[in-house]
Amino acid sequence: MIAYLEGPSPIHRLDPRTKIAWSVAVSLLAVIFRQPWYLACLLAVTLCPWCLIRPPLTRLRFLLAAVGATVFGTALSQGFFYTLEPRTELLRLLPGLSLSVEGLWYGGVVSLRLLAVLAAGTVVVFTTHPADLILALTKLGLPQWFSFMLTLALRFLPETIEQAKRILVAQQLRGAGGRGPLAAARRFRLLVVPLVTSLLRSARQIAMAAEVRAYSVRHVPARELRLSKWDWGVLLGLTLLTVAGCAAAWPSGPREIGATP
Amino acid sequence: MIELRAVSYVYPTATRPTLSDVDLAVGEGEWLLLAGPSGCGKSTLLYLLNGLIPHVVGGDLRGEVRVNGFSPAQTPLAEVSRQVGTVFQNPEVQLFMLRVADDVAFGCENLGLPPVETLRRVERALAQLSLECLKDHEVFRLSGGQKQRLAIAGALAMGCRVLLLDEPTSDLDTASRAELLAVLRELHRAGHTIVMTEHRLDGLQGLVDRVVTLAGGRIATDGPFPQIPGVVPADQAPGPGVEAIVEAEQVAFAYPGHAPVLHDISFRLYAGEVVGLTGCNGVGKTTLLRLLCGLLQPSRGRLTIAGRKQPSLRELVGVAGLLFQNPDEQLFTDSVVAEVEFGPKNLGRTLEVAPLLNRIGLFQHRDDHPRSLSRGQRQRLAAAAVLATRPQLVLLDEPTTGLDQAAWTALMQTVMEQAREAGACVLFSTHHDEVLEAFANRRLRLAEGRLIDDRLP
Repeated sequence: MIAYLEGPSPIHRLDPRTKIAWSVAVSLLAVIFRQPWYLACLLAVTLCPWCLIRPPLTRLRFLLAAVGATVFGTALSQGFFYTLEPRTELLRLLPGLSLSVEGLWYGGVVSLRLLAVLAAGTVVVFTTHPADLILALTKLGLPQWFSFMLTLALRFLPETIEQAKRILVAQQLRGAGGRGPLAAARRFRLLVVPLVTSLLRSARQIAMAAEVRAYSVRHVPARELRLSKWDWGVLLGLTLLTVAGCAAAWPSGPREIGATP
Repeated sequence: MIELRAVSYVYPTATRPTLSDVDLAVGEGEWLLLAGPSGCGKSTLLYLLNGLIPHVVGGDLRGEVRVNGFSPAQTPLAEVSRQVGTVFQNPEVQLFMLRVADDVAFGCENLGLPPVETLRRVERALAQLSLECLKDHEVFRLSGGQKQRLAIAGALAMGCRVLLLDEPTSDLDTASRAELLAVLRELHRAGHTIVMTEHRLDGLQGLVDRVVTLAGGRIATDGPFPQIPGVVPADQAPGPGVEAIVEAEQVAFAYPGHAPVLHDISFRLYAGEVVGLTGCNGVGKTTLLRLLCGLLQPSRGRLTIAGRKQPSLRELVGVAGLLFQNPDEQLFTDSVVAEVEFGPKNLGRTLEVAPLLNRIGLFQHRDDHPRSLSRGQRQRLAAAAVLATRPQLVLLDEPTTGLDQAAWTALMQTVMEQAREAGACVLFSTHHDEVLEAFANRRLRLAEGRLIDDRLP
């Protein structure tokens, strides 16, 4: 549901490093901004690329459900557990556990911050092939061995999931069932042992196959990434936006927004 | 080109040598086939040539191994891999990158070649293996045959003139196998030296120059392609009975959001029948087997199994049993006995374990961990575990893949004997014509999701 989505949008055509810069800039501003309206504007800006990507409805539904749960959960937990003063009690559940107006407000602001960061990050993942993303991270300084590890993890994830499914099916076919935590724990144990054994065996074979293809850490990537004029334009825009955002946020100082709903 | 003189080798944890006093010479441009039963030392010999022994595996190596004049044991692996390419049996574990072109480039990038040179080699290797149109595809979407060709392309891009292939066709269907062998024929014609291990000899006559047979770690025969021994048809395949175990009428199936996999399939299977199910990879064989054991439900049509109409998985547990290709995905417990008892215990049935273990030749291993057994023994144990619930319908999904003739014969005989005693019907999918000829008394053939053939083999 959050995997790469092939498409022809202008966002897809941007260099992965530009998109990473976008995500970093939004995260930076989300941390700096303390005023709810600033954060709301930032969220609105991060939603613009979504209009260009046009993800399928099934994915949007999943994302909206996840986002809704995040906002609701964050607002509610802050509503109950916000401890700063003043604190206007809205609803008392138990002695010492009550919902406060300031807490709900603070939870809403934290949710806005979280949403902006998630919306920007998800755009990167949706529009960048994992291989390009890893290459970009390597160009930005990620160690080659770590990139290789990431690539292997992504490469073998689908097969591992399929294998886990087949093991569970084999259990079902031989009558393994039952309900409740004990039966679930038993099924889990019966899944983990063959799965881990198989993964370890595969890991050894992968290591041997990598050795015969001269695996080394002095890897020279053949593919190059090049910033187009559009990338430079976006990077310039991002720089201006970040500087302007920092300047705009500066006068608000260290004021705690939760205290002044 | 390749020379082994008085080579003996003992694995680090072994007490007896896997190879003993092997002398072998392979000329430049020769295609050598290494044959012999599992465990005879074929793969070990390949590991000596590509340097995995002793660089990675370790062990005690004696004698002299030379490839292109250098000793793989005394040459860094990266240097060996410039000249010697290896393709393993399992295509899944030898492709590392997410996209086809990236995977071909992987070896060249490791050699530190300039990007321009790497890209040039990638283009050339992809063209040689007819993979140009797949260069931007994701690796995990390729078929088994395409993955094996991709592995060869990776080796060619590194500049290898010697290709070592360790049972490269054992996971492939007939069409993919023929395609891969055609590619190897072209490489052979282009002057590449090929050393290949293989259990299946059909289709190799006229391609390989020479066959060396290993037995017990020694060279048993060395010469031209031998006469392939015929497989004795199994006398335990019983004739058809009268009771229909499976009745499928106009059965169709589609995974949600996808095109139909099976279209209007109708057939009946009777008690006592042994039916082979054939067809290319992706044609719907596994889907059909999953429908017959209740893991999937037909999108359309009527399916009756052992008198149960449109049965669910719950209804078919103990009635239909399914054996997968990979035994390791269906062995969960800590001992051979516990594995066989697993199903009957879950179903509240009693089972005489000793006769069953005797029949599959694992009684002396009854307290061993299943994973300490050989591949052939594990596959027999997995079959016994399925048969222990005495299912009326025994389904086998490519059960002989990766097994040598002795191992698959033992496996299939175990299944036949148990099925005959229980009056069960056996349906097995296979790409292996020899297995089909030896054991099936009827054949179903699928093509493009339709049943196109139903007859005696």
